Amino acid sequence: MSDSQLHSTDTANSALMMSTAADAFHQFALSGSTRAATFSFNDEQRFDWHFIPRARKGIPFKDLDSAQRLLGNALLGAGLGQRGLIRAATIMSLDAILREMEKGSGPVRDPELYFLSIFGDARFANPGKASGRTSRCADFTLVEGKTIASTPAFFGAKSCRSFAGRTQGAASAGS
Amino acid sequence: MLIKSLDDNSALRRSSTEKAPSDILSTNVRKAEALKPRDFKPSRLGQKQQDILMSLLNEYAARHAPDIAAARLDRVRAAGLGNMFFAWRAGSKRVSRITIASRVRRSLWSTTTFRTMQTTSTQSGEISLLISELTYWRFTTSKITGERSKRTARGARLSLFSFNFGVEIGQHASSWLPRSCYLRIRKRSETRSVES
Repeated sequence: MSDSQLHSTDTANSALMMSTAADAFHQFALSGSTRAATFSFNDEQRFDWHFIPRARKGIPFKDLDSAQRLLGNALLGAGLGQRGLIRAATIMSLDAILREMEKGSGPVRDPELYFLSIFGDARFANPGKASGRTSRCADFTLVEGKTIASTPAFFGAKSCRSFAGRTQGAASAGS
Repeated sequence: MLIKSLDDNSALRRSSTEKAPSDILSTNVRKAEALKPRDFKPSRLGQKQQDILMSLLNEYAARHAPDIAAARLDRVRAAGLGNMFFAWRAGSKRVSRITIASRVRRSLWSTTTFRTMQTTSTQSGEISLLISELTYWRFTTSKITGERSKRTARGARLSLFSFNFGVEIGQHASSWLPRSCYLRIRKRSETRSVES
């Protein structure tokens, strides 16, 4: 990775928060059933970026216990801004609506089938999604705890809007 | 807003297409490369359009934490608009929404079957019809005892919907509709789902 691909050190604040959050999540990953969420930094999996329905490595939120989920959300929040975090959570929640609309005719829709992966020494976090066109992907790379690359990044959702029920008003808002 | 602010003969508008591609142009290739064709350099835009474009980039960058977003935008500014390419691959019409209040027949067995519909015209000219609030299909029966009771069933028969321009049932609808259902109206000859 060349220097030109990296951000400046002005991102040290987020880098520190992200490194701390990743370390906390990483410790859980090493100690429990979430070992599958960790890879070496040079693992080919790090380049396995996609947004279509298919099997994906990493650990889904579905398999995390309540404490681990909180740490996973903290890791995500360390890199995303307020709008990004709201949008990410909204996209994830829309899977419930899509599941109801498609009634099994489409890919698997599950708000909890979003994956977390850590590559290397808790310096790379790659939340992605296992299946469905509804997808969200945010990648962050930390080098020496002070420099961040934040690509590739993709937020998307199949167009849908709920006009009834408890989800009334919810709508996809990908970008 | 950016496309609309352009003259019809502007290079960017002429290079734009009305139809969005069916997938991300770069697909899932592992090594990122500059997209082709490199249609248009924003440095050729007027100041107003450049400001709108920067607002668009700000919106994109703002998904990340403020310091990360600022760093990304700093790189864009440092590179300069002369080293940036911009292309637009979709219609320039904003999605419009029309709310139609409608009541369908009353009969001995039915009350209002639905109250409002919303149509959304998409960039491809497709019209999506979403029945926003199907009231319950009510009918009253008299039991043998003579006691009147009300029954409620969700849904209404699709045959009630008799639009002059034709209705095509979406893949997720059936002859009996759930409370929130999705229909697609064939406006002309093409109907397809739009994803983003």
